[in-house]
Amino acid sequence: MTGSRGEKWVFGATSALVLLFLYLPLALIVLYAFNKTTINSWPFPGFSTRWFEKLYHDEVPREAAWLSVRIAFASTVLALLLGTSMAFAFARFRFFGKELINFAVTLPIILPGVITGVALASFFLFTNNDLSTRTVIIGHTTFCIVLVFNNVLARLRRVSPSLEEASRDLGASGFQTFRHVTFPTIRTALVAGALLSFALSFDEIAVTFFLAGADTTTLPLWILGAFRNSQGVPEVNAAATVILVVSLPAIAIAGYLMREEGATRVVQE
Amino acid sequence: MESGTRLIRRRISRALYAHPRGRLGLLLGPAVLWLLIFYLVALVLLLMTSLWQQDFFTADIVRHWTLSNYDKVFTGQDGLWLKIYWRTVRLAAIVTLIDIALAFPLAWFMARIVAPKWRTIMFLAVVVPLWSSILVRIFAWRTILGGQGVLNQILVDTGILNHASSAFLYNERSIAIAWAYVWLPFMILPLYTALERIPDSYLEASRDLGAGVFTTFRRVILPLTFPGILAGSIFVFSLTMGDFVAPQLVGGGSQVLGGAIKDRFGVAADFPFGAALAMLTLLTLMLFLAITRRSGALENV
Amino acid sequence: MRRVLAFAVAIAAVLAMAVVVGACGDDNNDNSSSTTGPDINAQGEGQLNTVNWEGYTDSSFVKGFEKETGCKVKDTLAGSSDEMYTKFRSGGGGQYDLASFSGDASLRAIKSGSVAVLDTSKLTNYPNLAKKLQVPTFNTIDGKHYGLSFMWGANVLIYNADKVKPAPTSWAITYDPKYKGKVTVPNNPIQIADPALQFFGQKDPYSIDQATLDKVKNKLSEQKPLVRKYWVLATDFEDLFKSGDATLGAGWPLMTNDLKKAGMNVKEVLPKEGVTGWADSWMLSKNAKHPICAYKYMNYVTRPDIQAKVADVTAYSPANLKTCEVVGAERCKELHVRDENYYSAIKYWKTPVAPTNYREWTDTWNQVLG
Repeated sequence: MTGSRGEKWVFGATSALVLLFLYLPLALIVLYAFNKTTINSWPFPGFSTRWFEKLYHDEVPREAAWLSVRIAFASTVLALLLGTSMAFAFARFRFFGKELINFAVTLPIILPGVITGVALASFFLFTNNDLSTRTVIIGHTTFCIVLVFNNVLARLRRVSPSLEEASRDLGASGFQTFRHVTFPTIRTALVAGALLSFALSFDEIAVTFFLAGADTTTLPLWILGAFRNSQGVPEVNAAATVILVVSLPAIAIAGYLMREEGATRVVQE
Repeated sequence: MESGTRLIRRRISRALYAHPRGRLGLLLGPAVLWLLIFYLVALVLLLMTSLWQQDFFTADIVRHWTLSNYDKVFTGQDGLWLKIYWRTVRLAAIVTLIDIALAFPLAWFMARIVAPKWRTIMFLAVVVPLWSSILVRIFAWRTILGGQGVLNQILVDTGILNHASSAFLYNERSIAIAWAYVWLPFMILPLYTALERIPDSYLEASRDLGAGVFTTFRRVILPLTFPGILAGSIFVFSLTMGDFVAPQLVGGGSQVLGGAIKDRFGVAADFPFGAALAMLTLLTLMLFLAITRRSGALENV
Repeated sequence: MRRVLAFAVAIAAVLAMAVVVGACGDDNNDNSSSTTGPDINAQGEGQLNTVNWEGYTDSSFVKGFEKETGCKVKDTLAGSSDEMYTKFRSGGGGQYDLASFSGDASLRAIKSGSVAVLDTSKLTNYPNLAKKLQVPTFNTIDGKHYGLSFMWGANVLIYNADKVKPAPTSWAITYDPKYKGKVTVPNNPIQIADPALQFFGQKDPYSIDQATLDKVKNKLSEQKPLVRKYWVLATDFEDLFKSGDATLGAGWPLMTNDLKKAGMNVKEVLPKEGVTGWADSWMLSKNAKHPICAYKYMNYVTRPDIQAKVADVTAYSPANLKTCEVVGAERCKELHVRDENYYSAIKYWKTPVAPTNYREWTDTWNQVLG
């Protein structure tokens, strides 16, 4: 690209340092997942896979992970429905209070989770609802809506409505038009929004902390609890390593999608 | 003759076509209703809670309107809570600046120096850390900065220190480091998007007109990337204002807002006071948002 | 103009809904006060939700319980009485069936009407508890048993015997500038009772006046620069010792136990100025969803053989006197099971009410922390 040799080297070196900063803790997490002892000291005490074995036999984090998956899935589905329909409303109609609603839907993700968490906790306290999986899903959906909304809206804005008009002129019904014309154009935006939504919900701790019931131990909550017990820390490192490895395919899919779209517009929009 | 479902679908389709307001209602209604009930009403309830009190013994909420919680926030306890508030704002600002400084070179490198085919990979490389548990990533700093951790051991081995220092962990510094680390990708991504959009021709034109590196930066690059910087800043500032995980895992005695709010709701039952603190946080961030809204930075969520 | 109107409409709608929602909510006061416990020989409900201290639901004995009764234990740990109480009361009160309240939370639970009266005829190990623990003031009011005493212990001075020589005998060492940055104490307002007892001669360190509270605040503020970190979780404490970041601390016998198991040369001592402590009772929520499993668990962990296991994990003192028959005379002495003098020397946690109340203690504590 542009830039002199000097520029390349300066930026390259700095970038390498920044990337190192980003990855050093990750590398240590993976490293200490193989720690022989429970004391994470330096130099490295020695290798062992015992924590992965313990994790394998421990049903508690497995159930926690499964619960997190279910919650993320439910929140994503709800967010897809609510966010997509809202995006269509914004793209195809003019109405009263657009800017305000736009602002309102962005708030849950811009404001820190602790505010959403305590606000909803107060809400459920007053409506006398038990905290449970359902309350967590409600909390997660609230901040996931905007992720889908922004992605789909940006895409709809780039697609001319004349395509849909043409489809109708050719005799297709509303449903057919949606299925064959509209949906394909927003499909990747939906996937991008869904991926973001799922990822954020799966790892969420701030909102979840205030909305989880005694029965609702999500993976992040299990991790927070495992920190209480010094025996638990290496197992947590093992769990984090597993999560990272398992999520690599998802990241690869995201990368593939972005290649289709050209650069990084898909996720950013 | 059309089949049953086909007929119904056609009828609905026609009805929707004939009543655009109805379509709008169906599309907009559910989402707006959801936000209204599960967010805005909840926020108002939080406000109402901040105007009540909680019995210190039984933890029952006493619905008696009072401003005592706000009084305590602004004037109480020799200004303790204001001290905590400004400490949090200061840390949030510092972390935001650190992240801008760290993100810019990398974003520039990714957007303008690296060949296009590598960009996606680098983008993913920035995103990958986000897919590992945020709690574990913060906890890792305990390991790195602790007495037996990597940093101290290296400093001792190379002779820079005589013995392990306790200055790296369990204080505001370690919280700031953990925060800067964890939210860094959220600053890199918008910056990268913004930098990528600057056409080469702009920079060439600037050079042709005789501008040096700094002038080009100040008058061309900075204004164009400003929305990106703001978008990233909103996220980082907001997330640090509310976080309670890093202070608990790597912090010392000094409290920050997020931790104080969480303690009032999760540990010491004083919901009304916690709500007042939350309202203060909310107001601060709304102010920040209002100032930055003009630049359209909010669209890059 | 339109923007302002939109804003106004939105605010009106939101406020209207909030008022409606706010007016609806009301505490559900279940006033069932029967003291007949459930049929403990019946089949359990299959699950048990508890909120308790570290070690009280350890897998070394919980697995046996789950196998015996089919009740799956879902435990939540709390780092302080405050936290335990707040969690217990969250979301309508039916979240947790059992809580292991210390004396400072137990009275709050009783007064707020969130715990049920226990039927001692259904508590199989009740007759074997130490006499003092059968009707203690922190869980028995007017002859009604709201809790079953379980374990008790003291907040001890723990030190790294390799780094702290000679062996300390006084709490003053945790205020000694020589150990700057090497001390750890709990992040808990109830800690205020410790200096009140140890340095200001308060016989009842939970009923102190404002003047004493101020003196304690100053004393604690003096200590602050020496404190490496105010620990919240047992891991915090243990990590600090393991990494060498702390060599002195106010903690629980559980930490000494864990650190010893990890190979460290740590010791604990009851300094001469006196100690605070806690006596824990199992309490049953009024809205418990799994009362049968709850009673089964209470009976299980107060069995002598299981009390011995709990003591192995925590190093606390069991309430059931018959534990001595299981562990032998020496261990029985170690655990102070029958030591009435030891028991009486401890100033057990109690929620401060007057002259200064717990809210004031919390405020003072926050001020010390900064």
